[in-house]
Amino acid sequence: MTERESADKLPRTNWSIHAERGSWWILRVLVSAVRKFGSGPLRPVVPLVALYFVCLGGESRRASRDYLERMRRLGVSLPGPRFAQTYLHLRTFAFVILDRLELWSGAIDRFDIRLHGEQCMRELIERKQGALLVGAHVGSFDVLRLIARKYGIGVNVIMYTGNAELINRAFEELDPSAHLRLIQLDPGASSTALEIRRCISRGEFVAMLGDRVHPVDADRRKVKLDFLGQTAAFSQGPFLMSAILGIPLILTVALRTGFREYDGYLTQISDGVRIPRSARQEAVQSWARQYVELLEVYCKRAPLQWFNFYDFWGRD
Amino acid sequence: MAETESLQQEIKVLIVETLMLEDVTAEAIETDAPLFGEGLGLDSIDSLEIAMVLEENYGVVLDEDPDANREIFQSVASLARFVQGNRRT
Repeated sequence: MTERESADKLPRTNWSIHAERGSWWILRVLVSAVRKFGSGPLRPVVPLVALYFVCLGGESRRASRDYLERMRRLGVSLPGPRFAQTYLHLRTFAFVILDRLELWSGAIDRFDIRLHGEQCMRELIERKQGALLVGAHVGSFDVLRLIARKYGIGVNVIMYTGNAELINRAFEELDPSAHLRLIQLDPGASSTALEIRRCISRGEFVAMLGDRVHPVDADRRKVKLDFLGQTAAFSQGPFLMSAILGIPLILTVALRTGFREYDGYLTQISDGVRIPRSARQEAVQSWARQYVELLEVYCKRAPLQWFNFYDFWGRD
Repeated sequence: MAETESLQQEIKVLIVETLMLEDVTAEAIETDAPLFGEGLGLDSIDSLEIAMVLEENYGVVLDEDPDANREIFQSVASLARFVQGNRRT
């Protein structure tokens, strides 16, 4: 069975279908264009792309409206007139993607990032202690590269993709100075967790996005938590790894504050002590809750930077 | 032969205890049945836990090489073969 066939069998709310849609080749063409001409020529196109998705991107539009409605119910004030908010939401997403293209094309120095909570990172690097950097589809996770570069640390990014090797090669081509390596997440296979352990034992960092449950995640690996007013399923994976291996877990989120400007937030959630089996579920629950509560904080701080454009709450 | 069988039995018990498998006893695990996917349905985190308990008990070292691991974690039989060939205790 090919990857596409198996993806087609998954329920429609499943985000992995969205991942299928993004073609790596289109991305490469765009990155080359950005590298050659800068992001300038693409910027005027961003509002058009956003408009296109408002008009024709049925699922993205629905997901955006649903999310914005939740935020209103929670009393969060959203920028712009109400009728334009879905457009503004999708436009923000498009700008963040353009920034990613620019970062990948090697324009990393043009970005300005203010880091908050760096102390935990500095201490770990001094002790040569690796850690899990757990992000979310909030703001930009690629800004991680700025952090990796600033500290000269190796970062391994866990990705749910069948093309990790291809993407690794392309990363190398695009920016040989990037201290990034991709590890393919294949929860059904025996090796991913061992590979993560190996990276950490070398004092490296392992980065992953923690806000999506994978189609192959068994129910026993999910944790249900209240998020923006309704229960949603989250993966226990990163938190379990931290408990089993006794490695620190740091929430890593960067919010876009302006043109090529980001605020990066690092928050240490677990301090890297091995948790005995009997106490593990409790620890995992409490860390996951902290993670989700912080995501709520960031969503409220930058309400248009939540980038899960599918039925997030109805996904399980 | 008897030695191999008792090692296989030991590993089954370790797996059941470590992973706290509900509704599965050591006796119910078939020596040659796949551990992942359609077999016992274990995942990557389970394999990490099995690796750690085997390392603790037998002094073996499990590496990150995906291809080697796929073979080692194929079944209880392959785990036992790996332990026999690499054990230090």
